[in-house]
This record gives sequence, structure tokens and C-alpha cells, in this order.
Amino acid sequence: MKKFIRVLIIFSLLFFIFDKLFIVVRNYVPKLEVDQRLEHLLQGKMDADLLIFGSSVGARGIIASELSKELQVKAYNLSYPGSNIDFHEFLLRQVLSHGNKKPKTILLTIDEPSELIKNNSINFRLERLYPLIKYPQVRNELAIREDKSKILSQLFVLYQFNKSNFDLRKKHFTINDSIMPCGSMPSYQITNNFPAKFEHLASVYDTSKENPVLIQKFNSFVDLCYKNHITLVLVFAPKYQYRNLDFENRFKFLAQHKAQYFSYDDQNPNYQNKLFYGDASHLRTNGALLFSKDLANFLKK
Amino acid sequence: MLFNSANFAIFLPIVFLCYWFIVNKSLKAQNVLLLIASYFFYACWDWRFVFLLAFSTVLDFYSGIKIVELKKQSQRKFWLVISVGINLGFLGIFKYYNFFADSFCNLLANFGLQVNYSTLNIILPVGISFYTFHGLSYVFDIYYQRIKPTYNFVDYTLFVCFFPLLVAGPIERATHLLPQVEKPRTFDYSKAVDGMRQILWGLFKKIVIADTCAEHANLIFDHADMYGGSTLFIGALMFTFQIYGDFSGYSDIALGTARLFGFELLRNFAFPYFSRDIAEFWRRWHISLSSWFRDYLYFPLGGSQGGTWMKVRNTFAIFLVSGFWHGANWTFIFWGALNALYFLPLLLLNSNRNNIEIVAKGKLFPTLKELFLMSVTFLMTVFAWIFFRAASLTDAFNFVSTLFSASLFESPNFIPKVALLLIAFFMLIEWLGRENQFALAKFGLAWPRALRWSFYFVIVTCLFVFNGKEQQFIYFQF
Repeated sequence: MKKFIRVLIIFSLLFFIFDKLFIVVRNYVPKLEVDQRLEHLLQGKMDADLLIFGSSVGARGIIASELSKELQVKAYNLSYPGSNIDFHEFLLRQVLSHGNKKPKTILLTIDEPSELIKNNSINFRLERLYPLIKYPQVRNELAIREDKSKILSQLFVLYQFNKSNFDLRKKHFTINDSIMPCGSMPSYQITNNFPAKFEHLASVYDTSKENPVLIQKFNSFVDLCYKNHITLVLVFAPKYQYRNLDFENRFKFLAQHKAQYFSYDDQNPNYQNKLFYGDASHLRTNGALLFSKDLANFLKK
Repeated sequence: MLFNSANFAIFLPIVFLCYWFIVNKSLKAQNVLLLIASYFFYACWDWRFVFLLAFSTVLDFYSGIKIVELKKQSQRKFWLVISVGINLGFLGIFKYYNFFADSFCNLLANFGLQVNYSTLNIILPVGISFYTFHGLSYVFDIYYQRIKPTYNFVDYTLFVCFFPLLVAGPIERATHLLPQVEKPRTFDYSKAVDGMRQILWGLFKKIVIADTCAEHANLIFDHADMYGGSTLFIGALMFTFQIYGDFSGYSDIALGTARLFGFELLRNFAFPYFSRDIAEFWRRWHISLSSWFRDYLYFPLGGSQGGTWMKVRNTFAIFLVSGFWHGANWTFIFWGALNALYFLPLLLLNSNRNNIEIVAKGKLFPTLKELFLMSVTFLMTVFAWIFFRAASLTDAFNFVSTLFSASLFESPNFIPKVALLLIAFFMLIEWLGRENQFALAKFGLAWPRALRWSFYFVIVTCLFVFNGKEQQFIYFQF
């Protein structure tokens, strides 16, 4: 029995030492990332007056540098393709911590129709957190989300890892998925994924499909802005269809006086032109420039 | 509490140390400690179902005594019927009520009769299929005078709810486990080390293999209509390894954990994917369930005695019941029927016991014939798992029709390279260790300790790195 315990202890100690060698890897992994926006937040380097949050709709559809030029303020895009409101709320919490400059205005682009509905194509982008596990707040977030046990994370470095951390190749974007210095990710891609013509595709919105967790995260996002005296603008970016007022009203009802609202002008012939879109839900670069100017004009008022 | 959770990593050492250091002098105290630990383990799922487990235990314990004490055959039979009826009644209510209600109403609807009924929001008590079968085997064995009942309630309760096997087996027999519960147990170093190795390998199977394959299998099965045949084939392949890694991984952890406490549980898996025919597969897959059905259903029905018709009927009976045991869905019944069909030619040609020994025993490589037979059996199994995994029979048939279309020969939408590499490594270790109780039983024992421990470090590293959100074991739902 004593021998068994002794062997187990020696094995565990040796593994404990072996495990600590991976601190080097953990510290090296963030350098491989080409998108370092989240790390800047964690390091307290964010100093923009205007921040944009959202999924690919925000990342592709709003050019932050265009807003900077028009409004003469520093604007930065923190939208991540494939991310949901849960992830945006996490990002906002990071913005408001770590000594980052508090922004004056936040634009939150709303995904229609899946902003509050569980959807496989947008989610909390856990894989964006794993390269940054050297930061305790990231490990803490992973533990909160039960992706990793807190106790084991504190004990073992290797336990903090995900298999993607062992891909030690330098990450890079493709020509259709690049990132600008202002954080925006405009797309030059064109697909044929369009309805036959610009029309009313959805004029109702079923609230029974909404996910309570996503509603709670949305409310938390709104409240964080409100409590920190940040002007929040909910942005409904162009889609190749007429606006769904039922959907927009749902957000006006949820956020009420705590937010302002900006939606695209669906009577504008430009927004009815396929050439401004990459696909039915995303603007191309030329469309994004157009929409950013419209947005800037709204914000000037 | 899952075997692959941090809670279990705390729970197990505490129980182990108390067992061997604090109560090691008294068998009674050891059994009481294991009993308390087992109930605590079970209560961590849902404390309310502890009462159901306790009731079932008391019922079978008391029935066993009454069956022996009563002289009249009719009275003995009465207690057997009471025990079996109530146990199966619970199983029927908790597991099958909604299935029968749905199926009955659908049947009437086919005749144009609309019936209003309500399905109940019933939570399936974890492990009910397993502990019910433990208890039933005990009562049957007493009735058929294979064993004498125990009068020690603690011993009997521990036999039913020993925590390593409580929620997903192996399905133990009183003839095998009860004597171990009743005898003093001494610590055996080699047994304990063996147990640790088996736990390690079980965790690898679950966390690294099953959970990685599950990501791809879930994605493909949940969006089967979006993919072509080649991608669906990858999905079926991923599920094939998911279910094996998941369930045999669980069994390895259970057997390894039991060894730490001086118990030997029934072997549940014996490298089934190296089988050369479907009969061999079923002697190697979920052995404790197959043998349970053989002993308590197949033999009482007449077994292979009698004419060809009897053999066919009995074979179909155990495969259909086995399918139904897995869950209240027609997909499981179809899966059982499909396996019976696979089995039928072997039965009719009397060649169902051709392959008893493990393939290529004493050799490194199989012969071409063995390789061919293994591949055919494996592909048949992959095909059958589609029905097991699909949400409904309609989904399964849609899956199969796309699978066997021209798109089978197109390049797949994606190739899960990491998963395939892991599977290759896993199957290599399994192949090398196939003549032992489990793959790591003797693997690397002849190596220098530094090398052997380095290998274990690699396994533990994989466990850590692949460990994400705790994933339920598939068989917990059964």
C-alpha cells in the first residue's frame, strides 16, 4: 500500500514538473495570432472613443476608419464573425476592465433574426479565448463557462490548453478575410446566395423562439452601457430585403430608453442593389463604406 | 458525478484512502463505507431517485429470502412474479411509458382514430436499466437455485449499487460479485496499478476518442440533409468510434476503479471491432448484457435446442429485446432486428462459434482473409450504428439513402484529420494489446520505467488538453 502511494506521489510530482514546462508554450501562443484585438483589451491598450460590437454583420458592414474620418473620433471595430451577444457582452466587460479607456459611444450591430435565438452559426467564440490562456481572466471565463475546471486549471498548465494551442504555425487571414488596423474586416467576396429580388422576406418575428440566456446577455450589455454612461446605438445593418419592423421593435422594447436605434434605409436604391452585397446578409466593402457614411451622418446628429 | 469530472477526481482518492487506511481492519466497515459512498455518488445525479433505488433493492432482497423460505412452488413463483413485475413496471413507467403511448396513438391514427392523450414529463432515473437487471439476476438465480440468498442487507445493497457499476454497468451477477463482497479484501499492489492503468485508458477512450468523434458525429447527424454520401460515411464512422470509446471507456474506468478496492468486475468489452463475424462481435461487445440476455431470456426460451424455427425465433427475441433495452425508440428496435438479420446466416450455417479466440493470436498481423472478414464485419457494424444514432427511423432511412448515392464517391465536405489520427493511434494500441484484458494491461511493461512513464505522461497530457465541457456518457441514458 505504501509503495503504491509512494509511486503515485512520485509520478504526480514528475508530471507536475513536466507540466510547468508548458508555461513557455502558453506564453508563446498569443504571438501566433494575427487578430490581436482581444489581447489588446486584456492588456488595457484600448483607447477608442467609439467601439463597434457584433458578428460578421458588424465586422464586414461597418468600416471603423470611415467613422473616424467622418466623426473625428477614434473608432475601433471589435466585431467577431460568428460571435453572439454572449461573446459581445464578455468583450464589453473586458473593455470596461484592465484600465482600457472607457468609450463614449458603442454601436451594437444586431443579427437578424438570430440575435436572441440560439443558432449554430453564431455562438460564444471559445476558440478565440484559448490562445490567450496566459491571462487569468481568460482562464476564469473558461471555468465560468464550464469548459475547464477551475481547480484543475489552477493546478496544471496543460489542463488550461486546448488542442488548438498545439498548432504552433503562425495564423494568417485569407484575402477575403483580412483585418484592417481599425479592426474592421471588410469583404470583397461575392456569392450568388441571394433571393430572386429585394422583397419582404420576413415581416414577423416569433419571440417564443428566443433564448432566455441570450436575452439576459443582451439586457446585461445594455445595462453595462447605461450604468457606465456610454451612448449605446443598436444598429440594424442592411440585408438584401426590406426591413423587418417587427424584429426591430422587439429590440426597442427590450432596450427602451437605454439605447438609440439606427437602421438602414430600405428605400435607398443602393441598398436594393446586389452589387453592394457579398451575400444576402452581408455588405461588401463598397456597401460597407456607404453604410458607414450613413451611420456617421446619424451619429453626427 | 461523472467519471470524467473534477468532482470524481476528488471523490475517488478520498474514498480510497478511507477504505484502505481508516476502515481497513473491518470488512463490515469497508462495506458500509462503500455503500455510503455509492449512495452519495448516486445522489449527486438526483437525490430523489435514491428512494427508487432503495425500494428496488429492498424488494429484491426480501423477495430472494421469501423465495427460499417458502416451501410451495406457487408461493415461490408468487414472489418471483412480484419482484420481476414491480421492477419491470418501474422500468416500463420511467423508460417506456411515452413510447407506448405515442406508438399506440400513432397506430390508432393510421385507422383514422384520433385519441387525445398526455405524455408525462418523466425523467429517466440514471442507471435504472442497469440496477434493475442486477436485482433481477439475483432473484432469478435464487429461484432457479443457482445461489442462496444473502441475509446481510448491507452486502446485498452493495452488490446492487457499488458505485463503479451503478449507473452504466457492467451488469453484474450475484454469483460473481456477491462472494467478493462477503470475503475480506486485502490490498494488492499489482492489482491496484493495473486498475490505475485501466482507468487511464478508459479516460483516454472517453475524453480523447469519444468526445472528439462526438463533435463530428453530432455535426453530421444533426445536419445530415446538408451533406453528401462521403461526409455521411465519415459521420457514421465517427459515431462508431464515439460509442465504442464512450461505453468501453466507461467500462474500463468502472473495472479499474473496482480493482482499486479489491474487486474484479465482469469484463464488458473485448476488442469488438477486431471481430471476424457478427457473432464474434456480440461475444465481445457489452458482454455483460449479452450474457444476461443469453442466460435469462435465450436459454429459458429454449436456446439453440429444438428446430431451426426455434433458433431463429429465440435469436430474434434476444436481439429485439436487447435493442429495446437501449431505449424507447423504434430506431433501437430496428438496430436490434438488423443485428439479428446479420446473425441469421451464421446461425443457419451453424458457424456462429467459428471465431472464439481473438484474431491473429500470437501474431503481429492478421492474414488477408482475417483482414477481409474484420473489414466486412466492421462495415456492417458501422451501418447498423446509423440506426442506433439517428433520431428517428425516417432520419435513418434518409441518411442511408444519401449515403448510398453517387455522392458517396465525391470528396467529403471536410475530413476530421485530428480525429482520424487519434483513431489510428488508438486502434494501434488496441491491436497491440488485444490479447489482454484491456489494451494497456501489458503495454510497455517491458520498457524501461522512464519510457513507460513518458508514455503515460503523453496519455495524461492528451486527457488534459482534450478535456472540455464534461460530456455525459451515452449509456447513462439507457
